[in-house]
Amino acid sequence: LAVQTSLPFEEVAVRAKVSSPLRALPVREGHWDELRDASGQLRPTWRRFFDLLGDEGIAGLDHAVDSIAQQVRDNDISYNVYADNGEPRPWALDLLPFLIDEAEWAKLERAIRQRATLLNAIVKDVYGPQTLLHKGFLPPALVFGHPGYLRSVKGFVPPGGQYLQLVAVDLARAPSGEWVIMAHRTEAPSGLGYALENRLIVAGVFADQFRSMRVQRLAPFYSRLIASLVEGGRAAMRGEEGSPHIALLTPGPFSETFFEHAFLARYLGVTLVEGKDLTVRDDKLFLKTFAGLERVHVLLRRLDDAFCDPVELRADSSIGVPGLLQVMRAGNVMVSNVPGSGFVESPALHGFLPAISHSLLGERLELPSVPTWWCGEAAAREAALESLDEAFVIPTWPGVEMNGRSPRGFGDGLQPLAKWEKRIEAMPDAFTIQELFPGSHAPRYEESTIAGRSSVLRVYAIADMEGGWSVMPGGFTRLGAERQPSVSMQYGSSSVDTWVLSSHPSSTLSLLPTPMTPDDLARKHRTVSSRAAENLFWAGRYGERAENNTRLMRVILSSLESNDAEGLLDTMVDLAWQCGLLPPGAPRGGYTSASLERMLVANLGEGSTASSIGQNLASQARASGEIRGRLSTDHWRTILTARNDFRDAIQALHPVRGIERYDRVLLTRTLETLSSQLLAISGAQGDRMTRDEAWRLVFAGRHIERVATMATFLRTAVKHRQIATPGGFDLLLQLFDSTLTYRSLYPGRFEVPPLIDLLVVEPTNPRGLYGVYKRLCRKLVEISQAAGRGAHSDFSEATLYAASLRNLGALCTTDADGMHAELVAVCDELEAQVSAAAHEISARYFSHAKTQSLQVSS
Amino acid sequence: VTIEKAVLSVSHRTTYRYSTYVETAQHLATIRPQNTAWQRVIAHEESIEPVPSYINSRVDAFGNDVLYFSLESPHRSLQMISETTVELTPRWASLDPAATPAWDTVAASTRFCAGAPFVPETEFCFASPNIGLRQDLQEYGLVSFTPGRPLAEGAIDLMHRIYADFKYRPLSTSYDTPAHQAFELKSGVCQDFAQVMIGCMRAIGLPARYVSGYLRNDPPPGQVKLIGADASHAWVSVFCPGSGWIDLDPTNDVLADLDHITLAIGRDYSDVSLLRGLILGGGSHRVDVGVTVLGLEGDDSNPEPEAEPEPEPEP
Repeated sequence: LAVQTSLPFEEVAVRAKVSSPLRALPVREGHWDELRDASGQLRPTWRRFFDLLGDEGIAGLDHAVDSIAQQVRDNDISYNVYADNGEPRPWALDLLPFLIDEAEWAKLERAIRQRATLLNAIVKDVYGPQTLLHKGFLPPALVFGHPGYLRSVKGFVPPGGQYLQLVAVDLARAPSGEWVIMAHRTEAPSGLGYALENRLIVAGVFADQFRSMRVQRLAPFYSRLIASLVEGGRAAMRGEEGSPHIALLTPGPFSETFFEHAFLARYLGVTLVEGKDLTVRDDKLFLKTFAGLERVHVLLRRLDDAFCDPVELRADSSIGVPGLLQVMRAGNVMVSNVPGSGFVESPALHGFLPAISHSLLGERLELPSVPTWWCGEAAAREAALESLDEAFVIPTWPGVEMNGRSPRGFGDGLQPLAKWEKRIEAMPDAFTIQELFPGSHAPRYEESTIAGRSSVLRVYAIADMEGGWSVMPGGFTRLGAERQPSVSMQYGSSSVDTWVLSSHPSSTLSLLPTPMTPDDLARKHRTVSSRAAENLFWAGRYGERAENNTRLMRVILSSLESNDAEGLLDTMVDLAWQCGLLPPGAPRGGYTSASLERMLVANLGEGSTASSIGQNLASQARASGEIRGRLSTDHWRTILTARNDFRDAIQALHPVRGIERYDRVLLTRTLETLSSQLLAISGAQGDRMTRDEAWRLVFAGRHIERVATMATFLRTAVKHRQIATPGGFDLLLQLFDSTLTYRSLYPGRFEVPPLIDLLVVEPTNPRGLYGVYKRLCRKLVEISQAAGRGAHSDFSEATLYAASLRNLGALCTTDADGMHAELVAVCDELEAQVSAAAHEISARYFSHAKTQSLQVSS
Repeated sequence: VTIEKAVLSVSHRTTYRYSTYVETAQHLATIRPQNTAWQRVIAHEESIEPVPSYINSRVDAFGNDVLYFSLESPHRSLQMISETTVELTPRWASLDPAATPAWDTVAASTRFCAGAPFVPETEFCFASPNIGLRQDLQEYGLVSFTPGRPLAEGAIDLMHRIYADFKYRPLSTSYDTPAHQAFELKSGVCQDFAQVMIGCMRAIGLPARYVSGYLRNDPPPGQVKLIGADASHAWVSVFCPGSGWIDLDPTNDVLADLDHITLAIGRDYSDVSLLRGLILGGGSHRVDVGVTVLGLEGDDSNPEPEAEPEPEPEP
């Protein structure tokens, strides 16, 4: 490839007397250079940026890159890629922002506003009078043939005729410097959350530049979005008192952009829901909550159209809401965007837009679309095949089946058109040809070098109920990987923050809500969705389980190390096996100290088994992630750090798989660190959470787990007849975290009755069975009162049982074999009780019934 | 004997039985007959057991009257009964297949060309959930549609061939079997016969749609009972300029006329399934469908319910 003969970046760097050699590679010929003008001089925006950065700033860029990576990790920003076995990939965020000056932006803003208006007008026409079809401005194939045209929506008119509230437009800059529209996204445009997260991080790294260059803020745009949804919600309330309930509908944690859904919901202050959290009754939409059904008036949806309602659309959708379209047509919920706009995303539409704009708006397009030919129109097809040798061949609509071949067959990258001619002739409607568009190259910092990468800018517009559009001053810019013709986050592209510069001081408004009414306040603390309830409960259980297992692991490892394990080996194997520290298939006996240790260490990590310490930490993080909005930032970060630190340490522990040697000191330190982190987490749960029903569920989860584990510890020691041996005595005290208390109460005494008294009867011992059980019972009563369902009893049967735990005399009796049979029976009974309580909670308050689709053939 | 008009009465019963309780259910039913130029609805009544907690109906994008209902209390069975009486008028007296326009001219008129007039029937030219546009169907179709052949002639020939080449075999396909699979199997039920034939015609550019309905199952003396008469039925409608939509029944190799009661039209089965829905809970289920269609004595002149013979017991 030819190389542009412009001056390299060093010239400027020299002027700034930079010690680090910052080099800018020339961009490929035929691309607009965002960084430099034709003479090789920095463009004014970038000159100002680097001037403000100064020598020190340039020298610190590597550090800034690390800081960004650290923040992405700390905030757990991720992107799920289907190909990666479901393991989320850290979000790819680059250092340097994409800069747009004020005059340039004014043009873009106008064009995007026009494009959004036009797209809504097209959707409105197609679901209404269809004049575009009748007048021949829109080919029937692009509507009737497009799976995104939903016949269930035909004839439906949303309030204000506003089908779209949110439109995303992808833009790129031609070699001439002119902007061109590459694509529209209307179904469920992504990136709005990532754009904000990128901004929060990058604006922090370049705080001085951000301020001095007067970068326009994003927050007002998001408050306008909420205002628009609230307005739509009021229409759906039809005069009902109070304020509308807004929910963000996500496909769930396996969705590509789940992180963004959770982030947006939290930032906007709306409820994050999945389809199974919602239910339709009559013609209204409800959220299933811990305390019953609660109306939902607005659904900001991130589900693709076809999956929204399995009754009327795809019957195999398990992530939709059965009956949703019925509610929407009845006017009782605002669904944003209205399902059915998928057909305007077709690339084939571009060629028809100039005429459509003229017909519907009476305007010329402010910005052109990328040159595109729809093969279904013979004249266009012939023109494209004649004039182009190579082009992108793209499906006109998604999911086109060509004699059984999936759209994958379309191939990536530029295609020699001669090779495609036959296939196109056989099914012309299905093909769209797009010319290669050489997008501008934006600067990307890579280890003391600035390289040019092709860029695509995504900009968002939102509508108010009167059809007025506002454009977000900024957006979501993606940079292509090297030598990659198209830009997609799925194929290793990266994203950058987008700065729209301004000559006026920008508004410092953050997300300020409209003034609250007493009704808002009344609603505020009530909603705990059934799914949130389930996650709260499990976050508590996993946290407690991780804590108990970590303690057990530390106790076992230190016994094995101090060589006094011989008599206790069987007991420890049994404990480890019951608590899941050994894999389910592992033998239950026949270990030496060394082989047990190896087996335990091999089973620490996340991948090993369902109940390993690593897996419990991961599960705790997952459950907590779904209720992140209820946790303080510190609390959430501690949960994540505990998981990440442990995962990293375990990986460092086994440099090569299968090697039996490992760093024992590192392991000890890792488990110590983990213990303190888990302590911090349970501390935050005890001290930093609002004591509402959400907190009670965490508490119940923890205490159910604690009763079961402590009962297991005690019973196992008793059954192995270790309760009266010095080693077993000590082991129990350590496992119950009661060594210090015992020693101060009974110095120098090793007798069973005081031990049982402390571990079982004593109500002040935080791990004593009676105390834990009693607190659990009280919480269960509170939970069923909070849920307010008279139909259920108060878990009273369980409460009664607590009395027998206080009978020290009975607990200390031994049978003819010298076995504490009563103690074993009590432990068994306790375990059965809490397991029943867990099932009861689950059956009462969580929604887990499976929907199934039913059809009959004629 | 030339019959002027026919009065038919339908009794259609669908029963679902579930192995465990269904907690809530939402259903769509497309079971209300249409009034058309040749079909007059004399009476229609439907009943649902248990009584739905919510019920509502609307006219869909194809003009069908669709019933939506939900059941919000636990139930172990669902029964829907629909009783319909219609009067049918013969409609093919003036059809001369040889005089219909050449199929290729019609196909060309459905292709988009800037400035050409809009043909609304092109809605039925494209792929639909159960019917893809495929080369194998196209090749099979072109055997009947030779260049320049009158459209109705070609369509009737195609119907003859499908009737001859395909076996009527219940249970060889299911409700969601796509047309091309039934084409490979060369067997299926009325739904598959119809969808294959539609696929062949769409693949060569002709607008073709799916008709759901019932078939008379008490044949007049001396005539054989038609296939598919004990259940609901389906056939094909192809658009022919000058004649309108022509209804062909490839399962029986006849034009749909005085034995065919029209319920609904759509692109394929998925648009007009008689009863579909989503249930919460329910375990496994069993479904029984019974359809009885009888001709009434006295035909058009005196469709008194008293004159109606008792419906036969369910098959």
